[in-house]
Amino acid sequence: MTDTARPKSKGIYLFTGFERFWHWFQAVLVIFLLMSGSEIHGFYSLLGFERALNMHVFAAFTLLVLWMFAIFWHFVTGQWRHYVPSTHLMWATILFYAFGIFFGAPHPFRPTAARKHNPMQAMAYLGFKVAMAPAAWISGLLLWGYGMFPDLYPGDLPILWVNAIHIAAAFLIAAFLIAHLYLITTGETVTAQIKAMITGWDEHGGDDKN
Amino acid sequence: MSRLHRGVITRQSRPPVAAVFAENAEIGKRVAITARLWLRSLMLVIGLVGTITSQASAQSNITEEATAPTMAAVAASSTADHSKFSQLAGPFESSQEVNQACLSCHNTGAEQLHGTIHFTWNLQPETAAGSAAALPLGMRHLTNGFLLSTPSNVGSCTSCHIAGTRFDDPQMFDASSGSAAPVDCLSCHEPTGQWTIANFHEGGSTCSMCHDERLSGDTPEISDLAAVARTVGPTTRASCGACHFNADGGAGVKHGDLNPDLINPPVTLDVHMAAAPEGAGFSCSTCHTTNEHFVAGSRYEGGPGRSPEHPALTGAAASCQGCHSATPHSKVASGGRLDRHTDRVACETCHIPAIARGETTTRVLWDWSTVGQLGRDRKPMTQKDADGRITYATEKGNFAVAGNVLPTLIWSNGRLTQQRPGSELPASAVTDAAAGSDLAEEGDLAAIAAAFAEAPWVSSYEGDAEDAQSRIAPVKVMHSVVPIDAESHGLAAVLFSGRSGDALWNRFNWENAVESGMEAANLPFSGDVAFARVRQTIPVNHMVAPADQALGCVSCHSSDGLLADLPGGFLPGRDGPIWLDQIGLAILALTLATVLLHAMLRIGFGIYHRRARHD
Repeated sequence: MTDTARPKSKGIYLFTGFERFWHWFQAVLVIFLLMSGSEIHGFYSLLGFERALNMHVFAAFTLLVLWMFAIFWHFVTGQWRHYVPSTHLMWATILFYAFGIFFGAPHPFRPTAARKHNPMQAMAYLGFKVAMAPAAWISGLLLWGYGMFPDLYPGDLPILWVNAIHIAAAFLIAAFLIAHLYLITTGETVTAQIKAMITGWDEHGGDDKN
Repeated sequence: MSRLHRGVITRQSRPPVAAVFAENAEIGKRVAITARLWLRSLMLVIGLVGTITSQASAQSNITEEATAPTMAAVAASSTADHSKFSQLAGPFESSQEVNQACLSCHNTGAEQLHGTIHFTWNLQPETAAGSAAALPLGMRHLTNGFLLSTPSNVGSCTSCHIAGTRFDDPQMFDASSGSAAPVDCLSCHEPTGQWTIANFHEGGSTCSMCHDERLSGDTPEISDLAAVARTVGPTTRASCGACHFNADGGAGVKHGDLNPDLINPPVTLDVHMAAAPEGAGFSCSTCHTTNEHFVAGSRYEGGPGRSPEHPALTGAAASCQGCHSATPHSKVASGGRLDRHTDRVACETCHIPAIARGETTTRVLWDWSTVGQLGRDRKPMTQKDADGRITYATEKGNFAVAGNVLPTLIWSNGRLTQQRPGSELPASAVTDAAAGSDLAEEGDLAAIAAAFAEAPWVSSYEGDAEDAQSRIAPVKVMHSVVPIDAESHGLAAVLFSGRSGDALWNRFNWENAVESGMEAANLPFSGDVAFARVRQTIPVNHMVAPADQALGCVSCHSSDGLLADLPGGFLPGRDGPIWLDQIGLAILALTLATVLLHAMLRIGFGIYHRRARHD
């Protein structure tokens, strides 16, 4: 899996400055939220319950603000279209990860400015954006409001279930993170995809006709 | 150095939770300030609430202003100056003459007092309509792990009665009997408490009731009754404390949170009782409000959750919520979060982090079974540890004390389940004689608690997590080895003292002392005595610490915290839905296993093909 000689090319510019800022800031916050959340949940003890809780809340609101900007950006720039699910090349992509990748087969999908993500990727990111993240932040806001504004908390809503949804979402996001960290090494080279997310340029991207 | 000493020192040197916070406070402060600014601007940005005062600072910054009144606001003001009353000019030959003088103006005083538990030592609990009448509560009926029970010892026990004179006839507790005891105004209204202390010494009370060793020296005396009479006024810490600080055998013996340290305590010991301006300068009756001599706040009534609708300031019941409300944390960072606890956690749980925090210790173990070992001179003796603490007395057996005791946290709805003389214990409670003597010498509270882990309760609070009226509340757990009937396993009444040779403290013969005690209590007795381990919960409501010494979150919100062993409830940091954790961790493990397998296959095939994935 060494990098091989190829024509020098900058490829295509896939990730704009804001998108990269959003991605990395979100990465830091999500990892911190998972760590501090695990402490609040009782898996280990480092910061202490109260400090972990306060910093968890602080990071969570920061992430909410970041997401508001990100949602605005998605709609203003039309980038949301990258996450519309598509079955085009789905089977080919699945077969690539199941078999082809071991035998040196080429990836069936080449990212373009019009479609950045392969079908599995787009589906997974959509799941994160419309299911996991909202489950986490809506339940998290309710948990926060339960303590801070008891008068506004709907008494009929069982707090232990809200808590369970928050924990379940956290586990799914943690699983997402593990898979994500691994799958970024499956690009053309081990570091190709992470380079693209740092510089914005995908050296292996194709033109829009792909 | 004895292990007792080491044990106590260890507990004392354990840094309070607040100190742990304080250590981190410096680091936290800079973060806290930045975080606070950030959080506030964030709140504004997302337009949730503009007034959020949430901050990332720890509870160490709490400086809650007490919403309770200060002493100045509640001090009794009177138009009567008793020092100038001609009725009190004297001279008086006896306290009865003083009382006659008092009652000549306060002419309903005796009648009021005759109906109170202070006089009757008897309380008939309310019973739900249709159910059988509950057995009466009160000192006349119950037994405990200290001086056991009163029925057989009326003559000795009444040295603390507000009649101001000892009496033997139980009829004298009963105002309707026609032979009710008199009332002694000075017992409560002589402000220094010295009258009460001198009176029961002069009255010939039994020394061993309070003193563990035979002291030489003069007993306190009051010579000029008229001078005393002219000092009368409202009850004081000292006058209430003359009895209540010395309950069941001396200073702090029974209550870790009520002892003579409270007569003039530093604010770190008790924020309410410390003198203003540091403390609130309360007396006992500031909270234990009194109406027609009925004093509110008996432990027999009212639980930790009962009182929000009975505010103390309107004269109904002594409770924290009465003054502070059920949501008292509004001025504190994350106060809403703290207020969320009050439906399940009693105020005392966090705000009384330890009891016996002053000089006075409290008794945690009492083994009656070893009574009667005489010294080489064939006389009663005592044994002490290296620190001079008494661990054995011929009259009382072995005992151990502790200072700075962490209360035990239980679910309590305030209702007591009480045993009384004759109550039968399970056979498993029966123990060898002298079971507690080694424990007393070692004085290790954890070892004592472990040795009594299966012992039945002679007095315990009801309650559990499912009961909405129950709160997590602190208690002192007393560990005792007490005499029982060897056949029925019923708790024994014991005659301690008196002229009779049967009295325990005269000839140290258990069979005879129990025989006489059971007779006085109208209970059958087989003739053989055995001993049983028992435990008792004693409420903890006093010695409220300054807010910055209250328990912090981590004290309970951790897997090995103070609530690690308390069943029930849902406690973040300790509990989680176990099935959810299992599923979640399984998903994580599966994901990790999948990517590792995939990675290994990639590497393996890469080596096999000896080439990169792509040309």
